[in-house]
Amino acid sequence: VHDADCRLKAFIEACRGTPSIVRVLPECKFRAWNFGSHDDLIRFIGNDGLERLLYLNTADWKNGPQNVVPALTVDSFEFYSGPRAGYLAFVWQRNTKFWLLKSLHDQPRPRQMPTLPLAENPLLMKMLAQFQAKDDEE
Amino acid sequence: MTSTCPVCGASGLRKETTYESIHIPFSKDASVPRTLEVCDHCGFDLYAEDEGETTTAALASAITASVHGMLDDLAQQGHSMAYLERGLGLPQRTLGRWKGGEISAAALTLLRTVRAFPFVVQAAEAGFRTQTCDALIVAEAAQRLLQKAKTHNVTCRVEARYEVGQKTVTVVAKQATVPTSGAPVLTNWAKALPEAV
Repeated sequence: VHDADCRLKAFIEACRGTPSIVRVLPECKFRAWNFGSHDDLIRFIGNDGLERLLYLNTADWKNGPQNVVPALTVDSFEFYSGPRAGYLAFVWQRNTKFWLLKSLHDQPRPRQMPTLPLAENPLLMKMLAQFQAKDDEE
Repeated sequence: MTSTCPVCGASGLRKETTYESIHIPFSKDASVPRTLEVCDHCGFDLYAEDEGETTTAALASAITASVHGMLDDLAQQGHSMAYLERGLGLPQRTLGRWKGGEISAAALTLLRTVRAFPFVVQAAEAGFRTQTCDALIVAEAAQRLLQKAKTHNVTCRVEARYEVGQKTVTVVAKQATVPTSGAPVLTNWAKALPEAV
């Protein structure tokens, strides 16, 4: 966990200070998160936009590149942005010195509860869940 | 061929451009280029470094067109540009500049908000006082519910009670026609409204 937290800090710092070493894979659904481009997503992360980050796990990159030694590992985190829960996964490629933003999508069953004022509004929570379900369908 | 692959380190990435349709609020969808850098060695692709700039440039004309559309829609609803500027407290001729393409991201979001919820202008004009905002939300919800009732040709009565000083004021709005169908949309609205209020 400690190593993953250190990598997370370094990743956010790279997004803030050296965005040219952060590359985004097409699996990141940045438009579904209202970002105009992947640059906006990197700026958002660098500006500490990910709230209530929660470490999920570190695992080998399943279906990652076969010809890379040592094999690449993926760090994944849960986060919130306002009432919306998300999932973020990134990779540090030490050979090329690039950060790879592998995944960004909704977290349908977040481990953390939404912030209280929203959780106390059942109508709003129901509506948000419906919007997210619609996004997932699309 | 461009640079080194950030995923595997092999040299020789090639660029591939496709077009995708992007939703523009209150306008037609826009077609924008999506440029990826593809590595034939590891098979991975990534967004090209200059992809963001290309997208922004491609979106500019679509956004200007949407600004025209939103202001035209608001004018048809009786919200002139002069009224919007006064109500929102904007300098005169601001909307003219927006129409000419000089519009920031923040201004675009304000315009979209006003287009989606025109009563925001009345709230702004009233200094965003809580009681006025509450009344406007209830009135807008009632109005939209009644419009749905009219569309589906069903009877509907919306009753809202709220306190003004020491008095309780009851506002009743009706759409009274012969009920022919119980549309699902209306059922949902009717269930949602008491909680929303």
